[in-house]
Amino acid sequence: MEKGSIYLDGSLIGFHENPGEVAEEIREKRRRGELPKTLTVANYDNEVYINTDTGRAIRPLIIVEDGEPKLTEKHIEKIKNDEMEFQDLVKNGVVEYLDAEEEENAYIAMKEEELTEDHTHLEIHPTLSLGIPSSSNPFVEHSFSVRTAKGASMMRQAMGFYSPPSHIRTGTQGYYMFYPQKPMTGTRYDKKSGLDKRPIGQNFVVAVMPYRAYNIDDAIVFNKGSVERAMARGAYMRTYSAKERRYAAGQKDRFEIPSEEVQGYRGEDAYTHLGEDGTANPETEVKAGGVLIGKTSPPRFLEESSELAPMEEKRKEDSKTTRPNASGKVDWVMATEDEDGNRLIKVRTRRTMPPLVGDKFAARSGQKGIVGLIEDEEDLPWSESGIQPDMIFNSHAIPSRMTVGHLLEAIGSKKAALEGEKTDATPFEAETKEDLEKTLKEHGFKPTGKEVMYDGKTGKRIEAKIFVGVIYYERLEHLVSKKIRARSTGPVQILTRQPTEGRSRKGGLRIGVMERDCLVSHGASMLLQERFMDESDESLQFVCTQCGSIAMEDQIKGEKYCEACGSNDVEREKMSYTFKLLLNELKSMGIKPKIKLRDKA
Amino acid sequence: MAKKDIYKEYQDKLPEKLLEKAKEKSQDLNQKQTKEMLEKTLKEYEQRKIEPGEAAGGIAAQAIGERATQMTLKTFHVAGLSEGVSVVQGLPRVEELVETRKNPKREVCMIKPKKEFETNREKVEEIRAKIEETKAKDIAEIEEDFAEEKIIIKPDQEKMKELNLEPKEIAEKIKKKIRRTPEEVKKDKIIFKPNSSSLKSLRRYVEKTEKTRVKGVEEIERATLVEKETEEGETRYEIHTDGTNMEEILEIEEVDSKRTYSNSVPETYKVLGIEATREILYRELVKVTEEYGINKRHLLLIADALTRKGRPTPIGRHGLSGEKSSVLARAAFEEQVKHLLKAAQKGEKDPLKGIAENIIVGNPIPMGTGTVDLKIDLEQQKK
Repeated sequence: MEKGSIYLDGSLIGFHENPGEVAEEIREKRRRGELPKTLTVANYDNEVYINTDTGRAIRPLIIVEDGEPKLTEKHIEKIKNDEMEFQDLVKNGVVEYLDAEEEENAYIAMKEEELTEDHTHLEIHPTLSLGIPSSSNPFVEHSFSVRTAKGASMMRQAMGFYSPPSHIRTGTQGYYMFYPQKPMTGTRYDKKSGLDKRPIGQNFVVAVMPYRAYNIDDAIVFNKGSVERAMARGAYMRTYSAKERRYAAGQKDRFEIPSEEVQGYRGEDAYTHLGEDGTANPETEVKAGGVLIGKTSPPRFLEESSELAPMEEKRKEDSKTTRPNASGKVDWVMATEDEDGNRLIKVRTRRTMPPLVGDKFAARSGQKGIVGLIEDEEDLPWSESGIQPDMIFNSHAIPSRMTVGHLLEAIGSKKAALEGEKTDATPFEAETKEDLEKTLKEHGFKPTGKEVMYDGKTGKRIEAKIFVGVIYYERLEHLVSKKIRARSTGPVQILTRQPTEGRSRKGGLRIGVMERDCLVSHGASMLLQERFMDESDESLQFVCTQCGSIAMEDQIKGEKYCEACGSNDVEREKMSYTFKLLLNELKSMGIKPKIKLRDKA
Repeated sequence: MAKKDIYKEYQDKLPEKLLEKAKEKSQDLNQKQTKEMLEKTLKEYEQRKIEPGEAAGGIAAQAIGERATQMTLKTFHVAGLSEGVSVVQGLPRVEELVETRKNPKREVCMIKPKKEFETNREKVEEIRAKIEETKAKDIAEIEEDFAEEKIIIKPDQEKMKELNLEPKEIAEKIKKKIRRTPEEVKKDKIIFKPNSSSLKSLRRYVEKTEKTRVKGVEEIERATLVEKETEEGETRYEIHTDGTNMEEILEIEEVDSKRTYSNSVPETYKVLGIEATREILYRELVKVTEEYGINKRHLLLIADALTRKGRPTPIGRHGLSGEKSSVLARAAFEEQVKHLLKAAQKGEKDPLKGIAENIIVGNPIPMGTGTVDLKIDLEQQKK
């Protein structure tokens, strides 16, 4: 018989007649506590993989033998009486940890009732098969798995509670929401995972309907009144730091308000908000590109200047400024020393970010959208009880995505609002739809969650009944105000004289090859020239008609001549600067390009 | 005016095929209606003509390129599907065609027997057997005798009969291949003694013997008989093969050389010439891109471009893009330094007639709006 191979952390360590037995024995030993609990064994056909390395996700499961779970009432009783801990269960071989690979060998029952002779493991609780973000998603078992995954990954981007020591943290950048709320419909895991303590969103009153074409596709409409009442309002923080560096000959940077003599002085107005120590006073407004920390550096070529004459020391202005697109208020200033004993100042700026058209919001069930309109409160529809929605999203977002959990959450939170109590939406054991409907009915609402609404503009009743509920929404960190950009004219690159690229450099929007091909295909010759020449790197060059090289103009003497052949027979020619650059580069390769001019027609 | 005259009026304005069709369709119409119809046809026809200065090539490239992005996604789904003689499909096949590769992955040949044999199953089967390549090892057991340095070939009697082969023929074929005379030729045993110096070389002789083709056409690994029903309900037979060898297949008397088709571009070029290559490129491109709804005129343009030099020219560095007349355009594509230095050595001139050059320099491109230019003959003006 062929021998089975045994692998330890991916490398072959030996062969065995009966690999299945090896795997079984290793498992037994692990359960007896003779091997580490993080070791896992997977057994495929004729190969056994033993894994002990880091980076594998492992999760606990109750061991089942002959259809009976090893965990008994006795254990539970002991744990309740604090006579036993969870880890004791692991030590006693009641619970063990499996990784993804060993899971392939296991047959896991979700519930105790489902247990058969064939099962090898029992789930401690069905939700433990989900991750933390997914298990905090209300009514997950009703939603489509792809959406759940999207919802879970968007949670990472939510603005919420920044960090417990946020008042003394100096992260490069961060966001926080002013009034984050606990979700009204949550799961039992919210408490464990800390979501209740450090929430990541707010409960919005939501109406589901198309709204005057302002919420087409995934756009959402916001209530201006709610926005003005600080709904979803947050702030963006950015920390800037500067150091007093030491140089040769005892020279040093200095934190100070630069004096007028300093080279590169920005003018008196630029430093008005700085304190005596040169750093900005907290709670002062700083413009984009404004000075945060006033600093001067010693002159660069110190020795040269001192040798010639006892020249006056002219220090250089070297202040730390905010980024060209980021204005804000000074939030917090910290002065300390770095590891080399240099003085170090960090300034944190803060900018309030109210929701704007173009900001991104998402529910936990993976329904995301962009604000398409912030509508005046008085124009929004209202319900029988006078409720106006904070947010309206389009009904067409629901059917194809099958996020039933999203709608159940709306009813669940609506119930929570009426009862004054959090609705439990823990996966697999949440309150049923029937229960929720019953409670709504008891409070005089329609069990479906639909309500009669009136148009805010005309006052007429809206013919259809509108689904209204409360949904927990996260504000995601993609804020328009940090992304919006436009350019008419602006900076150009030095080498090519083409416009710069990127928002932080006030760049243009690139017309790439494919866009170019498009214009060529349309035969839009003049537009193409405009984009690639007139609005890019157009330049006037002088061309020698005698030798064909680029000539030059002496503006003082007012004469044009060719440096290469000395001729004065020079013509002015329009060409792209990159072409002139290309000619130069060719020359550096040892190729002499010549331009032959011809009368146009 | 009689209908005939109306048709005559449009004879010069409409292409022949279109006029034929119009004639057919207008049979039940009266004169006025006919005239109206032809007028509309002419209008539509004129509208569809390519105008001077239109970037036909660019549009063709975009039309194909846009679908190609979809094809990359779709080929994954088709992968793994195989039935009988299958061809490389989707984007890989398009690449293969457009690059006019020397050795396409799956060469297939569709052989049509001459019309008189078409319905005769036995005859076609006979042709099939003639074409399919049979190797020595397929019909005989080949053993080596290291002690006596002999190769012993034991032909399978049944298979021999099936293929209508004689041991003599086999011996002859092997003799040609390994250049040794057989020591013994019997009905059930052929022995060679190759006089080899070592065991290793004996082994080599055995390998050669095994690979000897005893019957059929080289390169044709498999030939299958395919039944085809015509519209009249007649069953006709043709042969589909894996691998092609047009040169030899066309020499077989029973094969209709006019209707036999190979999907291999290089081979078609070798055997049938450039016009056939153009046609085959077009047909194969249509075949792969059929379901994506690309206008056939784009494909025709591609086929024309690939064959206009009188030999299949691939797209890319070694073909169309590398053979552009302008230095700047070539350098803008690939291998800049090579092109620039070569141009310098030869003292090349760039008259700035193409697209890429003019974009580089910053001139309006000679396409669309840019084609229009005022031309005054200065010499004439002086007079």
